[in-house]
Amino acid sequence: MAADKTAQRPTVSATKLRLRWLGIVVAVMALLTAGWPLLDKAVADQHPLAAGSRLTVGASPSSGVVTVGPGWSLLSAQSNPTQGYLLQRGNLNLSIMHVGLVDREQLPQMWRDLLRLLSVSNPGIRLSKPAFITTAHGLHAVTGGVTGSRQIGTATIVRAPSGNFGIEMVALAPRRTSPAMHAAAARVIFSLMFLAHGT
Amino acid sequence: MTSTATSSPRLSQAQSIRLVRMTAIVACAFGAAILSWQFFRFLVVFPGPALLAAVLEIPLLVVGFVLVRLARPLRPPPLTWSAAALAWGATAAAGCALLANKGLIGLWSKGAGIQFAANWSASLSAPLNEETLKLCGVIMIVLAAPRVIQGPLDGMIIGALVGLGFQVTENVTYGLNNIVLAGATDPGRAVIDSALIRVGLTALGSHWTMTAVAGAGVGYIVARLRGAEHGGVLPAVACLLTAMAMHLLFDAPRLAIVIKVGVNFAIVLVLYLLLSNAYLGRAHQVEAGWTAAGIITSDESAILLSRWGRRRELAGAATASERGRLAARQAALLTDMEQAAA
Repeated sequence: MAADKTAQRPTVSATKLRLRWLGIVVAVMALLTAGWPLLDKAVADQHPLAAGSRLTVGASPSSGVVTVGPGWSLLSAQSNPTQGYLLQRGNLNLSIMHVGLVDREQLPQMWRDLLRLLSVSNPGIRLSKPAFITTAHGLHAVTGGVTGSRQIGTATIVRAPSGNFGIEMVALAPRRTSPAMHAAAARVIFSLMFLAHGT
Repeated sequence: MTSTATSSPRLSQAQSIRLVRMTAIVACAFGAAILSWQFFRFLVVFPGPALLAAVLEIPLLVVGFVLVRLARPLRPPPLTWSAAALAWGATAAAGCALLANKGLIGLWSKGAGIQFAANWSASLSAPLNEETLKLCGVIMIVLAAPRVIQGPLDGMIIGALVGLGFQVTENVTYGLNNIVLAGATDPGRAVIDSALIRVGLTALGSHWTMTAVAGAGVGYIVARLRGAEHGGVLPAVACLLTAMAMHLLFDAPRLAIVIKVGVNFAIVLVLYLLLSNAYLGRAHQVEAGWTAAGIITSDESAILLSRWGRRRELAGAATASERGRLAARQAALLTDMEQAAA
């Protein structure tokens, strides 16, 4: 009997050790996978922007600048100065994205590509027929309506004169959002300028 | 799970191993589900480029898998557990890291500002989250297949395989994200550009190197538990911290990518040479002892530690049954040798 117990002891201790380490592994994985996102959710994301704040999107020399009016907030967890920003005013979201153009694509093609890009995260989204415009700053742009399952708004693409990059801006809000809200978004969108060395 | 550990003292060794394996499968399925949820729409909207992103990683996957397994002296680790290590990195670690990084990077943006986060959040988040999640895979292999990792060199090889799996999945996701960064203007080109950089330029110093170093640390702990002189917690902690530092360096801004890749590759190469030299030194000692004790013949002694020698011996067998007997003898001796050398 004594010999049996001695023989069993390492097995039992190895099993306990294995279960203990398994518990540690599962706990650590759960802590990282669920802990950080929960903590992130618990911390407020909105950073109010002062009226007249200028946001540079993209890295020099491929960058553009927009100027925001009153009432806008920056969603910092979803913003990155080199890639783009997500701004919020009431229940309207305005995303401003920097896109690199590998083959100096033209605006009509960029508009079609934008639809595919938006449909990755918004299945069923539709873009209206685009209108080709020139902004107050003399930039060529394309703009049109966006219709999603619950939200509507506008999309605008401005191509940098260099042709190396563009800025895509999409304003979306629930259907009953006031026109004033959309007008505020339009003011931000059409404030876009390219820095002199980016043109 | 900790309560399971304390409230199930009657679980047999086989049952506990089965529990570990089931948990690992669940973790891999969970990681794969997260990745699918995050990237499935790319497959719908950009089916060609999405498949291209995966296909472009096949050479890295195959070549990496073969070379890393061959790097183990004497013989490669078991195929099943090599594939399991790869699968952990590609699914469980990569999927969980996606959520963990998103959470921590969000916190950096909120706490330290978006400019700081743009520069540093990746290098301050990924080393902690990704190295830990990949290391969990190496530990799971130790728990699920106790004979696979017996020392630091085994841990290094399995760690490299976990890291390789992670690297391949991450490369695919970077390719897909590059479609977004290019405004979907040329999805195929965006995917190819990303793969050229991540397979052609940074592959040599990426995840496989970091997890190889961290995995060696797990091997040090296993060696200590087995009573080996070279085992210990201190080298294990040093390996993990080194792996995290390598990752921080790799993600840090304003440093030439060639330097990052070179430093990481140099670290893993030096560690590998040190560990494999020590391993082979111990193997030669064991072999000499066995020869002196008459456990193996001088002919066996001449070929046991050489892959080519063993293969030549098998090729020289007159009959299939003799070849089978020789192969079984070689395998049995190698199993004992690996245990002693590790």
